[in-house]
Amino acid sequence: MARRKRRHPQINVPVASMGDIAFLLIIFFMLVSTFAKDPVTVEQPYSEDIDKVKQLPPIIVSLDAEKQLWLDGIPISSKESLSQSLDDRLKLYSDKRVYFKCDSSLDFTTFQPVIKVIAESGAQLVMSGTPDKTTK
Amino acid sequence: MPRKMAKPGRKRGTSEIPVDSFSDIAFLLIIFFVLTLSLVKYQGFTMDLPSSEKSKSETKDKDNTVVMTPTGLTFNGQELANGVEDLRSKLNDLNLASQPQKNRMVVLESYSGVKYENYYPIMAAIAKAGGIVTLVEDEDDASGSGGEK
Repeated sequence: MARRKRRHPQINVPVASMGDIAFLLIIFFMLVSTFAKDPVTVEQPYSEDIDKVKQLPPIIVSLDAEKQLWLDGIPISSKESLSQSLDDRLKLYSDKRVYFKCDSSLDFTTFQPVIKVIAESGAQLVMSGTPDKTTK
Repeated sequence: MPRKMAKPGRKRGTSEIPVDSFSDIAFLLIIFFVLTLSLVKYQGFTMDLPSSEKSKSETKDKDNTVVMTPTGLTFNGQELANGVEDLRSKLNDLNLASQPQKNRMVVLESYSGVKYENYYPIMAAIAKAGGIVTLVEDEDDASGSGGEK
Protein backbone atom coordinates (compact mmCIF):
# COMPACT_ATOMS: atom_id res chain seq x y z
CA MET A 1 0.00 0.00 0.00
CA ALA A 2 1.33 3.38 -0.91
CA ARG A 3 1.87 5.57 2.07
CA ARG A 4 0.39 8.96 1.95
CA LYS A 5 2.49 11.71 3.27
CA ARG A 6 0.81 13.60 6.03
CA ARG A 7 0.20 17.11 5.13
CA HIS A 8 1.59 19.19 7.90
CA PRO A 9 -0.78 22.06 8.57
CA GLN A 10 0.67 25.37 7.58
CA ILE A 11 0.60 27.88 10.36
CA ASN A 12 0.45 31.47 9.24
CA VAL A 13 1.00 34.11 11.87
CA PRO A 14 -0.39 37.42 10.66
CA VAL A 15 2.31 39.90 11.40
CA ALA A 16 0.92 42.84 9.47
CA SER A 17 -0.82 44.35 12.54
CA MET A 18 2.03 43.90 14.98
CA GLY A 19 3.35 47.38 14.32
CA ASP A 20 -0.04 48.89 15.10
CA ILE A 21 -0.34 46.89 18.29
CA ALA A 22 3.14 47.98 19.38
CA PHE A 23 2.38 51.66 18.88
CA LEU A 24 -0.98 51.37 20.60
CA LEU A 25 0.71 49.84 23.61
CA ILE A 26 3.34 52.57 23.65
CA ILE A 27 0.69 55.29 23.51
CA PHE A 28 -1.32 53.57 26.22
CA PHE A 29 1.58 53.37 28.66
CA MET A 30 2.77 56.89 27.94
CA LEU A 31 -0.69 58.36 28.49
CA VAL A 32 -1.24 56.35 31.64
CA SER A 33 2.09 57.40 33.09
CA THR A 34 1.38 61.05 32.24
CA PHE A 35 -1.99 61.04 33.93
CA ALA A 36 -0.79 59.12 36.94
CA LYS A 37 1.85 61.71 37.67
CA ASP A 38 -0.58 64.57 38.02
CA PRO A 39 -4.19 63.46 38.53
CA VAL A 40 -5.25 66.54 40.49
CA THR A 41 -7.33 69.09 38.62
CA VAL A 42 -7.61 72.63 39.85
CA GLU A 43 -8.96 75.86 38.50
CA GLN A 44 -5.81 77.60 37.39
CA PRO A 45 -5.31 81.30 38.17
CA TYR A 46 -4.77 83.69 35.31
CA SER A 47 -1.80 85.95 34.68
CA GLU A 48 -0.28 87.59 31.61
CA ASP A 49 3.20 87.40 33.09
CA ILE A 50 3.75 83.66 32.83
CA ASP A 51 5.32 81.45 30.24
CA LYS A 52 5.51 77.82 29.31
CA VAL A 53 7.54 75.70 31.71
CA LYS A 54 10.14 74.02 29.53
CA GLN A 55 10.66 70.97 31.66
CA LEU A 56 8.20 69.80 34.26
CA PRO A 57 9.79 69.76 37.72
CA PRO A 58 10.10 66.30 39.23
CA ILE A 59 7.94 67.11 42.25
CA ILE A 60 4.35 68.35 42.03
CA VAL A 61 2.52 69.77 45.02
CA SER A 62 -1.19 70.39 44.50
CA LEU A 63 -3.85 72.01 46.62
CA ASP A 64 -7.33 71.37 45.32
CA ALA A 65 -10.63 73.18 45.90
CA GLU A 66 -11.43 70.91 48.84
CA LYS A 67 -8.21 72.05 50.53
CA GLN A 68 -6.72 68.60 50.10
CA LEU A 69 -2.97 68.59 49.75
CA TRP A 70 -1.30 66.26 47.22
CA LEU A 71 2.31 65.36 46.58
CA ASP A 72 2.86 63.66 43.21
CA GLY A 73 -0.70 62.39 43.24
CA ILE A 74 -0.52 61.08 46.80
CA PRO A 75 -2.80 62.76 49.37
CA ILE A 76 -0.98 64.39 52.27
CA SER A 77 -2.64 64.85 55.62
CA SER A 78 -0.71 67.78 57.10
CA LYS A 79 1.93 70.42 56.50
CA GLU A 80 4.35 68.47 58.67
CA SER A 81 3.94 65.37 56.48
CA LEU A 82 4.43 67.51 53.40
CA SER A 83 7.60 68.99 54.82
CA GLN A 84 9.02 65.57 55.65
CA SER A 85 8.01 64.07 52.30
CA LEU A 86 9.45 67.04 50.41
CA ASP A 87 12.76 66.76 52.20
CA ASP A 88 12.92 63.05 51.32
CA ARG A 89 12.02 63.60 47.67
CA LEU A 90 14.35 66.52 47.12
CA LYS A 91 17.25 64.29 48.11
CA LEU A 92 16.41 61.97 45.20
CA TYR A 93 16.58 64.59 42.45
CA SER A 94 19.25 66.97 41.28
CA ASP A 95 16.47 69.27 40.01
CA LYS A 96 15.36 71.09 43.16
CA ARG A 97 12.25 72.65 41.67
CA VAL A 98 8.75 72.04 42.92
CA TYR A 99 5.71 72.63 40.70
CA PHE A 100 2.91 74.12 42.78
CA LYS A 101 -0.72 73.95 41.64
CA CYS A 102 -3.41 75.62 43.66
CA ASP A 103 -7.08 76.20 43.08
CA SER A 104 -7.99 79.82 42.41
CA SER A 105 -10.77 79.91 44.99
CA LEU A 106 -8.60 79.19 48.01
CA ASP A 107 -7.96 81.78 50.65
CA PHE A 108 -4.58 83.18 51.67
CA THR A 109 -4.69 81.39 55.02
CA THR A 110 -5.01 78.07 53.17
CA PHE A 111 -2.31 78.29 50.51
CA GLN A 112 0.25 80.53 52.20
CA PRO A 113 1.38 77.87 54.73
CA VAL A 114 1.94 75.41 51.87
CA ILE A 115 4.05 77.93 49.96
CA LYS A 116 5.98 78.55 53.14
CA VAL A 117 6.67 74.82 53.63
CA ILE A 118 7.98 74.55 50.07
CA ALA A 119 10.14 77.65 50.51
CA GLU A 120 11.60 76.35 53.76
CA SER A 121 12.48 73.02 52.15
CA GLY A 122 14.98 74.91 50.01
CA ALA A 123 13.24 74.11 46.75
CA GLN A 124 12.73 76.55 43.94
CA LEU A 125 9.05 77.22 43.43
CA VAL A 126 7.40 76.96 40.03
CA MET A 127 3.87 78.28 40.34
CA SER A 128 1.36 76.91 37.87
CA GLY A 129 -1.15 79.13 36.11
CA THR A 130 -2.65 79.92 32.75
CA PRO A 131 -2.18 82.85 30.39
CA ASP A 132 -5.56 82.10 28.83
CA LYS A 133 -8.25 84.23 30.37
CA THR A 134 -11.06 82.21 28.79
CA THR A 135 -10.33 79.16 30.91
CA LYS A 136 -11.43 81.01 34.04
CA MET B 1 21.49 2.60 -13.06
CA PRO B 2 18.21 3.55 -11.57
CA ARG B 3 17.35 7.09 -12.15
CA LYS B 4 17.39 9.10 -9.04
CA MET B 5 14.00 10.18 -8.06
CA ALA B 6 13.72 13.82 -8.46
CA LYS B 7 13.12 15.40 -5.16
CA PRO B 8 10.28 17.75 -5.27
CA GLY B 9 11.74 21.22 -5.19
CA ARG B 10 11.31 22.97 -1.87
CA LYS B 11 9.47 26.15 -2.03
CA ARG B 12 11.80 28.69 -0.60
CA GLY B 13 9.87 31.05 1.65
CA THR B 14 10.02 34.54 0.32
CA SER B 15 10.48 37.17 3.01
CA GLU B 16 8.29 40.12 2.39
CA ILE B 17 7.94 43.15 4.53
CA PRO B 18 4.24 43.84 4.99
CA VAL B 19 3.78 47.42 3.86
CA ASP B 20 0.01 47.50 4.18
CA SER B 21 0.16 48.86 7.73
CA PHE B 22 2.61 51.65 7.05
CA SER B 23 -0.12 54.22 6.55
CA ASP B 24 -1.77 53.17 9.82
CA ILE B 25 1.54 53.49 11.62
CA ALA B 26 2.07 56.92 10.11
CA PHE B 27 -1.32 58.14 11.31
CA LEU B 28 -0.74 56.67 14.74
CA LEU B 29 2.53 58.55 15.02
CA ILE B 30 0.84 61.76 13.98
CA ILE B 31 -1.92 61.27 16.55
CA PHE B 32 0.69 60.42 19.17
CA PHE B 33 2.64 63.63 18.67
CA VAL B 34 -0.49 65.79 18.43
CA LEU B 35 -1.82 64.36 21.70
CA THR B 36 1.54 64.67 23.40
CA LEU B 37 1.88 68.32 22.49
CA SER B 38 -1.70 69.19 23.41
CA LEU B 39 -1.80 67.32 26.72
CA VAL B 40 1.36 68.75 28.14
CA LYS B 41 0.43 72.26 29.15
CA TYR B 42 2.64 73.24 32.01
CA GLN B 43 2.74 76.97 32.36
CA GLY B 44 3.82 79.16 35.17
CA PHE B 45 6.71 81.12 36.51
CA THR B 46 9.75 80.28 38.58
CA MET B 47 10.42 82.03 41.82
CA ASP B 48 13.15 81.96 44.42
CA LEU B 49 11.35 82.38 47.68
CA PRO B 50 13.28 83.17 50.82
CA SER B 51 10.50 83.24 53.37
CA SER B 52 10.92 85.30 56.48
CA GLU B 53 8.88 86.06 59.52
CA LYS B 54 8.98 89.71 60.38
CA SER B 55 6.83 92.02 62.41
CA LYS B 56 4.74 94.68 60.77
CA SER B 57 6.87 97.44 62.27
CA GLU B 58 10.05 96.15 60.58
CA THR B 59 8.51 95.91 57.16
CA LYS B 60 7.23 99.47 57.31
CA ASP B 61 10.78 100.75 56.93
CA LYS B 62 11.57 98.54 53.96
CA ASP B 63 11.28 99.68 50.36
CA ASN B 64 9.36 97.80 47.72
CA THR B 65 6.52 96.63 49.87
CA VAL B 66 3.37 95.34 48.27
CA VAL B 67 0.36 95.00 50.53
CA MET B 68 -2.65 93.02 49.40
CA THR B 69 -5.98 93.21 51.10
CA PRO B 70 -9.35 91.85 49.97
CA THR B 71 -10.31 95.38 48.95
CA GLY B 72 -7.18 96.69 47.27
CA LEU B 73 -3.49 96.78 46.55
CA THR B 74 -0.81 99.22 47.70
CA PHE B 75 2.82 99.64 46.71
CA ASN B 76 5.10 101.42 49.16
CA GLY B 77 2.04 102.87 50.86
CA GLN B 78 0.54 104.17 47.63
CA GLU B 79 -2.77 102.75 46.60
CA LEU B 80 -2.86 101.24 43.12
CA ALA B 81 -6.21 101.97 41.51
CA ASN B 82 -5.66 99.66 38.54
CA GLY B 83 -4.23 96.78 40.53
CA VAL B 84 -1.71 94.59 38.74
CA GLU B 85 -1.28 96.93 35.78
CA ASP B 86 -0.14 99.79 38.01
CA LEU B 87 2.09 97.43 39.94
CA ARG B 88 3.76 96.30 36.72
CA SER B 89 4.56 99.85 35.70
CA LYS B 90 5.90 100.67 39.18
CA LEU B 91 8.12 97.58 39.16
CA ASN B 92 9.34 98.28 35.64
CA ASP B 93 10.36 101.78 36.73
CA LEU B 94 12.54 100.24 39.44
CA ASN B 95 14.40 98.13 36.86
CA LEU B 96 14.85 95.34 39.39
CA ALA B 97 16.43 92.87 36.99
CA SER B 98 19.59 94.98 36.74
CA GLN B 99 19.88 95.55 40.49
CA PRO B 100 22.07 93.53 42.86
CA GLN B 101 20.22 90.80 44.71
CA LYS B 102 19.80 92.69 47.97
CA ASN B 103 18.00 95.49 46.15
CA ARG B 104 15.65 93.14 44.30
CA MET B 105 13.69 92.11 47.37
CA VAL B 106 10.00 92.87 47.20
CA VAL B 107 8.14 92.35 50.42
CA LEU B 108 4.69 90.90 49.85
CA GLU B 109 2.19 91.25 52.66
CA SER B 110 -1.18 89.68 52.39
CA TYR B 111 -4.13 89.03 54.64
CA SER B 112 -6.96 86.63 55.13
CA GLY B 113 -9.65 87.12 52.51
CA VAL B 114 -7.22 87.41 49.59
CA LYS B 115 -7.95 84.67 47.06
CA TYR B 116 -5.27 82.81 45.18
CA GLU B 117 -6.65 84.07 41.84
CA ASN B 118 -5.75 87.61 42.99
CA TYR B 119 -2.52 86.67 44.76
CA TYR B 120 -1.06 84.78 41.83
CA PRO B 121 -0.86 87.61 39.25
CA ILE B 122 0.85 89.82 41.84
CA MET B 123 3.55 87.23 42.39
CA ALA B 124 3.85 86.66 38.66
CA ALA B 125 4.27 90.39 38.03
CA ILE B 126 6.99 90.62 40.69
CA ALA B 127 8.80 87.58 39.29
CA LYS B 128 8.63 88.90 35.74
CA ALA B 129 10.02 92.26 36.84
CA GLY B 130 13.01 90.45 38.34
CA GLY B 131 12.01 90.85 41.95
CA ILE B 132 12.59 88.33 44.70
CA VAL B 133 9.47 87.91 46.79
CA THR B 134 9.83 87.96 50.54
CA LEU B 135 6.80 86.59 52.29
CA VAL B 136 5.80 88.34 55.43
CA GLU B 137 3.81 86.54 58.03
CA ASP B 138 1.87 88.81 60.29
CA GLU B 139 2.27 88.00 63.97
CA ASP B 140 -1.48 87.75 64.32
CA ASP B 141 -1.65 85.20 61.50
CA ALA B 142 1.30 83.13 62.70
CA SER B 143 -0.80 81.06 65.06
CA GLY B 144 -3.21 80.23 62.23
CA SER B 145 -0.59 79.22 59.71
CA GLY B 146 1.49 77.06 61.96
CA GLY B 147 4.48 79.34 62.47
CA GLU B 148 7.99 78.63 61.44
CA LYS B 149 9.70 75.24 61.58
